[in-house]
Parts: sequence; structure tokens; C-alpha cells
Amino acid sequence: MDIHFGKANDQDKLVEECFHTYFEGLHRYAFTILKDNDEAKDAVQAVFLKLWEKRADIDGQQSIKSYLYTAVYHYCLNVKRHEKVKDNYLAQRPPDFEHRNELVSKETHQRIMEHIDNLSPQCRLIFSKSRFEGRKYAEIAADLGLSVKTVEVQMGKALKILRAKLFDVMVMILFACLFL
Amino acid sequence: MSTADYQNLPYELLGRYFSGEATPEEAMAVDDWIREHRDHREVYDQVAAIWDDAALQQRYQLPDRTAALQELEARLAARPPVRSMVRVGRIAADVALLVGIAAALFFAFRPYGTRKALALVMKHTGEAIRRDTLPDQSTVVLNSHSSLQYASGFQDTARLVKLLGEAWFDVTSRPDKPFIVSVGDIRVQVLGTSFNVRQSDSTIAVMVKTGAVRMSRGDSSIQVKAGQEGIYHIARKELGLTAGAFKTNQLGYATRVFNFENITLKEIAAQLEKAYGVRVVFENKALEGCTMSSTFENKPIEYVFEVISVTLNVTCRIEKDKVFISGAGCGG
Repeated sequence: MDIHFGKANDQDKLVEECFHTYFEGLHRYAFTILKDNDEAKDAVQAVFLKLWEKRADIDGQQSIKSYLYTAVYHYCLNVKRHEKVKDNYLAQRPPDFEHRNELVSKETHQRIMEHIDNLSPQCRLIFSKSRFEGRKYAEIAADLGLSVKTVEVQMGKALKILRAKLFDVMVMILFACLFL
Repeated sequence: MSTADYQNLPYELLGRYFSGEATPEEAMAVDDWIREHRDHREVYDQVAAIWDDAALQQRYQLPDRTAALQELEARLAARPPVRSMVRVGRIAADVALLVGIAAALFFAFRPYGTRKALALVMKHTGEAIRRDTLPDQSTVVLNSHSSLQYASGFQDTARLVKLLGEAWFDVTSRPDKPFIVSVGDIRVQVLGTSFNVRQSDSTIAVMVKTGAVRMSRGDSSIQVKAGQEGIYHIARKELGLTAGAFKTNQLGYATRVFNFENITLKEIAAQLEKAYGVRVVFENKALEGCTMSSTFENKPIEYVFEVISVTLNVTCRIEKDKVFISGAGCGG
């Protein structure tokens, strides 16, 4: 699909190669910040548009990689800032995907919630503030009078415990579904 | 924190990553870590699943890379050559210079053939449908209020078209050059076949008349064979096949193949109007309710209305693009 990334030019080819190599990682990264698949895609596209303009100055894959991740980061933060301004005027829009709870994910969701309840109180509180309220680490730390490092450690602990307890459950559910 | 430290701390790093706290360096570290070992990928996928499933919000879904690249290319083509940036004079001048250099490079490095392929062809329909032949001799019938976009000449490695709305495609077989319809989230890929793509607010439906196509979204895909209909539920983001049989009449606007079974003349007229680009005028409104059954396979309009007039004992008069139906009634 080289409508624009013609084969004639090495730099053009390089941009296309970078797209194939880094698209997934960049999109996943953008999603962690924006929490929206389409917005994340737009962010990556915008960054590649910029890269295209600068492609004559590019030297080597390594610098491109770091350029791309950094550009996506700043682009996403910028989008978030604009959204904050918008949110001040508009009522919080309802989550778009409320109704996408098929059998597996609903059941899994319940199990996850049970295991979250079983975490230590501090761990549970920190995880909930991050995952369900979307609070920044710095905000959580300030709220609870903790260091950011403690928030980080507790988040890591929560994920490690949840994975250890849930992983087998998920396999069982998937397995069960094969026979339903 | 160096990359080496992360070996022992994947969960803290992953916590920062999924919480949206990761710096670009940390995000790169996560991706490097995932690539390092299969087990890492597995841990990542499990933690990602837990993160996704914990809250009933939008889940992560990797968009189709090829479609995304195509979109990027379309945006490059659609970009105005000079942006209108009203800013401080100096910055504007710098930007203008940069854009100028970029534009110069853009055109300087482009061989003639590729430059030609840059042009995008856009086709829109209003009320009337539109029949077209594409550069590869495939035919397309664009239903009302739809639009189709493609690179002129199809000189690419694939024949890519972007659809909004509904269209019928009869694709010439070119095994070396797959024909790809991009519609909403979905890509429909074929080698040579005839099929219909209909996009509505809630679904994207692909009805295949001959051959087979592959409908895909991101990593998931289904094959839709002749006589089947593949459905994509936009809200649920799910692909599947419909259970029921294929409704020939739905494609009538394009194929002019109709299988009317005991339906009213009003409905028949509506379908024929679309397929033949005519207006049907009932001079006696009572006739709208007459019902009939018949099959037409791409027949001339005169033939179709001749059959109708004989079957229902009415008079059909064709004047240019209008058909007048009159008569006493169909009761007897």
C-alpha cells in the first residue's frame, strides 16, 4: 500500500517501516493515556504526519523510535488538557461501552471485583483510585499522605496478586465456554 | 531507572503503564520487555486483560494496521499544501519555510507514476444511485446517499476503496492485487467476487453473491461465502454471520434481480424505481395495495412493467423516466 510512501525514496520507505514496526506499541501507549481506541489512533496518525514532514532530517531507527514515543506522549497530554477544558463545560459523558459485557467478561469482571475486595485495605484503595477514578499517582499520593513511590509499589502489588489469583480462573472460564 | 531494573519490577512498571503514568522511556521499556520473551508477552496479556475487565469501560483494541496506514496516506493527500497558521509572525514564517521545504521534498522525491496515484477519486450519490466502472474494470453500484473514495488508477499493491453507506461490488479477479473495501471499522477483502456492503448506524452488513470475502476488524476476522451475510455490530464490536437466508431483493437496486413473493405493488414500485432510476406514478392510488409474485433477472424495464400489467390487469405507461400505472383495480 504505497500510495504515498513511494519505493523510490529511502526516507519514504523508512517512514512506512516505522509505521509497521511501532504502530502497535505507540497505539497501546496512547490508549493508556487517552483510554479511547479511536483517539489513540488519531494521536498516532498525527505523530506520523509530523514525522512525514520531517522525514528528510531523520537519521537512523533508534532516534525515530524515541522521537515517536515522545511525540505521542506530548500529543496525548495535550489532548487531555483540551478535554479537561471541555469537561468543565460539558457534563461528564456516559461511558460508551457500558453494554459490552458478554458472558466471559461479565463473569471475569465479577471475579476480579471479588479479588480486589480481598486486597489489603491500602492496596485496594490505591488500586481503586487509579483504576476506577482515573486519578494520577501524584493525586493519590497527596490524598493519602503517601509518597508516589508507595503508590507505585502498591499498584504493582495489586496487579501481581490479581494476576496470580485470576489467571487460573480466566483459563477455566475460557475452557468452560468451549463446552457450552 | 534503567531498563535492567525493570526486569525485576514488571508489575510496578506495568502499573504505571496501564494507569497512563508511563513516560515515553517507560513505554519503550514496556514494549522492549514484551518483545524480549514469550513469557513476558503472556504476563503482559494477562495483566492487560485484568486491567481491561476490572472496569466496564472501553477495552483496548488494536486497530487494523493496514487500514490505519491507508488512512494516514489519505490524510497526507487531503492535507492542504500550505496551512493557515495565524500566529506570531516569526513562527508563521518559520512554519511556512518548513512547509515549503517539506512540500518541495514531497514532490521532488516522487517519481511521476506515484505522483499520479496521489489523486483521490471521490464519488457521492444523492437520491439517485450511481453505476460505475472502476479502473480495474470492476463494477460498483453506489446506493443513495453514499460515497466512495479510491486512488485513481489503482496503481497500488492492493485495490483499496473506502465506502460510506451502501454499495454493490462486482470485482474482477486479480489474485496479485486484492480488492479491499474499508468501511467504518471493518475491512472486506476479496480476490474476485460480487458482494454488497451496507453500513447503517448499528451494523455493517456484507452480503456475498458469488465467491467469498474476508471481513476483518483488527485481529479478528470471519469468512463470508456465497449466499451468506456477514454482520458487524458496531456497538458490540462483534463480527458474525446471520442465520437467515440471503435476501435477493435487497441487492435489487444494483443487480436488478428480484424475487417478489406476494408483496404489494407499492413496495415493488419502490424497488424498481431505485434499480431503474424511474419514478412510478399511481394514477389510481388503490392499485398500490395490489399484491403479486414474480421473478425478474435483470430484465429491461419495459419487460418488467409488461409482466406487471398482465399479472395485475393494470395499464403501465412509460414516458421517459416516469411510469404511470392506471386501471380499475386488481380485485378480480
